[in-house]
Amino acid sequence: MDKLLEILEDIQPDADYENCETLIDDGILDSFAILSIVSELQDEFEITITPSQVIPENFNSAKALWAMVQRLKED
Amino acid sequence: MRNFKKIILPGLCVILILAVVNTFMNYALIPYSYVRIMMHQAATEEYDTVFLGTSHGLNGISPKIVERETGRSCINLCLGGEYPRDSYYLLRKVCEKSIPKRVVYELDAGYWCTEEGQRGDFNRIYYEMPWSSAKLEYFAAKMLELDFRAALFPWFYYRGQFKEIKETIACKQSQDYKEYGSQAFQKPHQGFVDGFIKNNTAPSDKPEEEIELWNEKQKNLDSFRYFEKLVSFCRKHNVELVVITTPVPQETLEKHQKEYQQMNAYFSAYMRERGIPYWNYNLPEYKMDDFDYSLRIFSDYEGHMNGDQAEIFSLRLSKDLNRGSYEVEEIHNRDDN
Amino acid sequence: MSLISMKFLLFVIVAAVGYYWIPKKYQWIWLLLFSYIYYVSGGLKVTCFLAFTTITTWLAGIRLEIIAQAEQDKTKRKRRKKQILVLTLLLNFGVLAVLKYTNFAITTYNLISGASYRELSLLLPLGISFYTFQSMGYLLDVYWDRTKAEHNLFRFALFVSFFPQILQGPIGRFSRLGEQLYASHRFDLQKAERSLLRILWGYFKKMVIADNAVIFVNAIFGEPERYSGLGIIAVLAYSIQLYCDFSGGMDVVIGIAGLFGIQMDENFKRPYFAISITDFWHRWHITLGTWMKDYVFYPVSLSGWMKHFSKFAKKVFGKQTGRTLPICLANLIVFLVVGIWHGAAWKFIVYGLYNGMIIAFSGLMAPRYRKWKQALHISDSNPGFHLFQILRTFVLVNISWFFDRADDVGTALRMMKYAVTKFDLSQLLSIEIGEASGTAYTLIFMTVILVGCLVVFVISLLQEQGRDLEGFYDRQHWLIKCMLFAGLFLLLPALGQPSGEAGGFIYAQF
Repeated sequence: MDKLLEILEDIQPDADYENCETLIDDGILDSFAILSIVSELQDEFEITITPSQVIPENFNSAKALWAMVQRLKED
Repeated sequence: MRNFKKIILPGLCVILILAVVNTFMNYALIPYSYVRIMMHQAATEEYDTVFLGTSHGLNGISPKIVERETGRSCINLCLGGEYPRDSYYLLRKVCEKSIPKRVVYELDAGYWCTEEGQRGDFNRIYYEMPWSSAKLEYFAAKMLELDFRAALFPWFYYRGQFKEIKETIACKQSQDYKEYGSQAFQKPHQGFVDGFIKNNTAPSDKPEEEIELWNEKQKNLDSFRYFEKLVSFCRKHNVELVVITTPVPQETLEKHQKEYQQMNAYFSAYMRERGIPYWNYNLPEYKMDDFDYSLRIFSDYEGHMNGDQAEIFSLRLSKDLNRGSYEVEEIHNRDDN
Repeated sequence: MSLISMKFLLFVIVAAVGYYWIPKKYQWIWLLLFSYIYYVSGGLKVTCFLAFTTITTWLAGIRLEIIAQAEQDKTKRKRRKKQILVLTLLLNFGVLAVLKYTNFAITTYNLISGASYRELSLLLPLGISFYTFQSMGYLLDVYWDRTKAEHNLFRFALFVSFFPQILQGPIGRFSRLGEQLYASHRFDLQKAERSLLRILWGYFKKMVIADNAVIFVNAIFGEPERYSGLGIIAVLAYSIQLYCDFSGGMDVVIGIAGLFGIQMDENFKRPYFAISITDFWHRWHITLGTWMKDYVFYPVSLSGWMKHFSKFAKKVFGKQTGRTLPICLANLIVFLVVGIWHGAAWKFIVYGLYNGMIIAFSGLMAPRYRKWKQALHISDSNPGFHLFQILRTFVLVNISWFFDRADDVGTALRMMKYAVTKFDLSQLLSIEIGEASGTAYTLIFMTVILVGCLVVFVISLLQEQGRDLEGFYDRQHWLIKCMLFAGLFLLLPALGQPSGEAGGFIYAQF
């Protein structure tokens, strides 16, 4: 989880990743940021993220992101 | 009750405001037009011969002369911007009063190969036509396809007239207007006299705007469709149908020789196929000895005649009409040989 | 049937009154019936294309679902699903490509090789771009398990053909639109009033603003040499025309759907307040943008070969740039597609790439911008900076409109040059309005455009600030509401121009 927060901070600073639940809905992350995150997560955790996973529910909060990573790691 | 207060009352209120403003705007902006006289006559009187067609017919055919020469009552319903679709419904309107014995359709090929745009007085016929089943059908056939403003707000095309509101209202309150008189249309260069437009052309420069020439590739299928309807309507009601084309200046004929030849070939064959006499007064065999074909006495290249010429032409047309439709062609063909 | 014809008006009235009169369970069938009446009135032959897309997509959706449930082996399942997907995509985009781009290919080939093949006269079914995109979006959603497949062919046919949207969008999503289309709706007076008002507002933008502006646009872009001093005016008028025409059309469409109780996706969110080109595309033709994002941008970015490219780029350019570069590439591809979507011509490709490059560039520069702003103590919330961003974006957008509207790329560049070197406002008064009236009304209609724009601006500003304008309307006395309706309606003939010979909206050509 810390690693994830680090990645998020690196890609786009000045956002409250620990508490914010509306990263997508409020437009804090744009599509460039989303794809940068995806790219980093794929390298870092050795997972494959497909278009079907790129939905607001998975990107709205750090918690949701982490859950997705866990899910994909199990696959 | 709840519906009435919440929907019907406000709905009626909006319609009322629209109707009041609309009526006022129509009254104040749309100038008095001779189309109103034509519609009044068509709806109230009976005619033996009806002329349909375009501005060429309106400027070239004196119904009064034809009436005198043929002994049959005549009305000229040719108008600028009148496509075969409009002609068909004008005839239907006339027939609501009484069915004529003869219809003369004045053909300008430009109306058969251009789109029925929103130009000229195209909306006038609809606006001035008194309500009846013919008008309803006309509405369905023409207005439905157009911008809703054309049907709902006839003043739309005259909003530029706001500077003349005073004159328009004064005119509409005059006795002349109430009696369907034509005083308002008497101007130095032209007037609506004896049921047609009489031009007093000064021998000056003639405007040479783009003339809509015949182009078979761009046929307006609707024009053909409605002409066919007109033909079958005439057949059904035993109305004699004659198609004519009025003379245009020699200069125009020479300049656009090819197009005029193609047009004549096309429509001669087209009418022959349908057994309809077609008299094209630009052909050498239809030449009038006493008619001046030079541009000098036309209003323009397109071929709007001046009043004196129109009288000569109307005399000739009457003579041909008296001979009977088929005879005329035979005589001309014989002369030709 | 044009959106501004008398016929369409009566059509909508009959459809809407009947919709609330018949039993609720038949409402969706009623909509399907009217959608097909609408489409068939445009020609029976083109309806075959609509039916083709409907049936192939419907079958493929069901097939995908069956495979997903029946096939146990994971790799096999994936492969079989992909086969169905690719086949259906190829079929449908193939039809679109052949009909829309064959002549472009022929003329381009002639240009390059000097050959002289004749152009073909191909049918272009109404709204083919819109319904194809909408259907293929549905297919991909089913493929990715984002939505369930629709089993009833007729219900699916309604989703593809729903008449208010088929001509010019918005491109709907099955997950949001489908449900609403099949649900039963009770008449809701408040919604109906708001919808009617929105329809009138749309016509106002189209007829009073866009159709007046188009006269100036056509005059100047038609004779760029004669009106060489008016390049800037031309492009400003064009930006007014485009926005009012397209968003006005959307207001009409969304308003009409609202009459049936159906809430469509918004297609515009005050685009000229955008602070960057990216932001602009989040506010302009939104449903096309999100379609491109979900179905082109993400899939391309997440594809296998992009992953390889990303690894390679990170090695060569370092972590940050290496990470962004593949995204930029995917973004360029998206805008190439957007350009081609706008029309079969090189100028549209330039137009698309121009947008794509600006976004890619600012994507690459984003970390640096952040540092610069920190160093200069500029905060994003600074109103002056905000205004600067809006103006900068507006200028960039206007440059792109030159490519969009000018006859070709060369003319666009020449006009931009003149706009700076030969600026001369006085030429404006020599533009003629109306067939016979010459320049007598030029000044009047310029004023109409300006006042109209001012009204749109004030309303947009209030909306941008989050004011509830519809709520404000709701609170008014019913007599005032009546006056508003009647007044807005009367402005259409009083100040509007006849909507061209074709009487159409620009975006209805796609």
